[in-house]
Amino acid sequence: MFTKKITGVLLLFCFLIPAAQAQATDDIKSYFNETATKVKAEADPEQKREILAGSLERMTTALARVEKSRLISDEDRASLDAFGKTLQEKQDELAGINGFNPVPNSQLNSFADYVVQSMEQADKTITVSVVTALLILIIVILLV
Amino acid sequence: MFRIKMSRITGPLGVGMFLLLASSCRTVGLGDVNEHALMDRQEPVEQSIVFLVHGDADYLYHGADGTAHQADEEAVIKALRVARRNPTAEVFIFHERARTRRFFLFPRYNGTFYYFRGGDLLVQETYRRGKEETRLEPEAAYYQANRSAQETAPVRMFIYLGHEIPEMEGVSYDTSRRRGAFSIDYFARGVAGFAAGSGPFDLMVLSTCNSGTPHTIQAMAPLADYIVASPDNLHLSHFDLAPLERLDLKLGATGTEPPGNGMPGTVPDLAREFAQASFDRLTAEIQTVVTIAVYDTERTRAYMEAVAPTYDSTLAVLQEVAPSRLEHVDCREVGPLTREQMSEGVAMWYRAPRFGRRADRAAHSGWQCWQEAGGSLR
Repeated sequence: MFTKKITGVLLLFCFLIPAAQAQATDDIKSYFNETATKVKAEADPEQKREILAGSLERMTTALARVEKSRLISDEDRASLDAFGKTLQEKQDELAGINGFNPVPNSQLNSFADYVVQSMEQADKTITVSVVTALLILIIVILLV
Repeated sequence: MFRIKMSRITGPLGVGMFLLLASSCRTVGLGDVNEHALMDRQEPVEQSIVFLVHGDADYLYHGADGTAHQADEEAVIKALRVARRNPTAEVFIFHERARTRRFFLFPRYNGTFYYFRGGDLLVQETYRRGKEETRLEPEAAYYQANRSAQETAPVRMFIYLGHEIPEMEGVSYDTSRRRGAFSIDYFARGVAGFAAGSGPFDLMVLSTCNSGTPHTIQAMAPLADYIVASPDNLHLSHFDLAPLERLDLKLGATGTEPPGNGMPGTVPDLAREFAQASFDRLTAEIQTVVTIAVYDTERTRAYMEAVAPTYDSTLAVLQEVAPSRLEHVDCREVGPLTREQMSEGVAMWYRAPRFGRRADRAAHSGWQCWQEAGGSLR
């Protein structure tokens, strides 16, 4: 079922790949931006932390599922793996594990901005043809 | 160019198709809008500024209030403001946009050119961008055709705003043109087309991530006396352009002595003011790392020449490594690329990221290098 869904969406986006690529990356950024907005709107630090942790966890889980797919290339798998590792580091820092001190309650809003801004750098564009299409699928999965 | 026998065109549809094809095949003009205005405006200029804004990639970012911004569009708006607020300058603005197609077949023009003189817009035209080694040829042609012909050389600046320009060969740069490779070497060749006949720019700004590397600065050094760059990541909100407004009040006529109104007045002074303004804004708004460096390309030559063989051989080796396994690091962390004189000629503004593994870094050398993730230089 999962494979059929991926195949169907891939076929659809083959005709609209450039627009789909841009949209996929924008959707990922918007996903984290919405998380940051919710965190800042919440007054209770525990709720803030839960929103952040839940958002990072959902994205990490989606990446892990896509990485296991046989439809993606080794290069794309490596890209997703690298992206997943950066997300895992943010989860670790939020929780204060793996060599990190936990993010203090007073800095949760700033940390939410950090998550957003770390994705919005003017670094080199990577070859994201298939990866980006798969990121679209990640979002689809997240919405289900 | 297509040839179509008129006898075979029937009806409005045929004429319409012909016009569409003709417009798609039109070659680049050199600014044929408002020719009379251009001819009437031959006054000499004291400053000449080129803005090259890349927009053919993902440039979405969000402000702290959650609002969405397109970095390239905002950069063009700010460049237009600089152009309008410089009564003694000529300003060239090039906006490189994604390629789109009319009816999925006919490519539209994917570049927009603006030319200002004395604060007034004299030329505005769309054009088709170049590719790979000839990438900046259309823009250079516009520049050479429209720039002020005068005996006294103005203070010249070149500002690039975009994603990190690849240092390795064979990397695509544009979202709408996946097969088109771009590199810092191609970029340098392209910028040389602007400098032809005029010598190096007085000031160059590279508003991209990781632009302060030995290879990049060395490639651009023949083309600029001073370079402002970001050795580490740079947020998509880019450097501030406001310090480039009203240069008539900030710079002396040649950029080497004060303008006589109490302002510091030299190009190095302007470069430092530019860096400081961007640093102040970025550190107030951004949680990720902020690094801005001003390079005196003459004084940094010794360090760049000393490390060039090692750095370039590293690039050749890392070319074979998957991009996702590469990372940028401060050259000071890479033994073979550390030198005593690496700070010579570099003015540095640095604020560590507020979070992450490098939140405890106190300083940055001003030079960025490559390594494989996990710390191996090879």
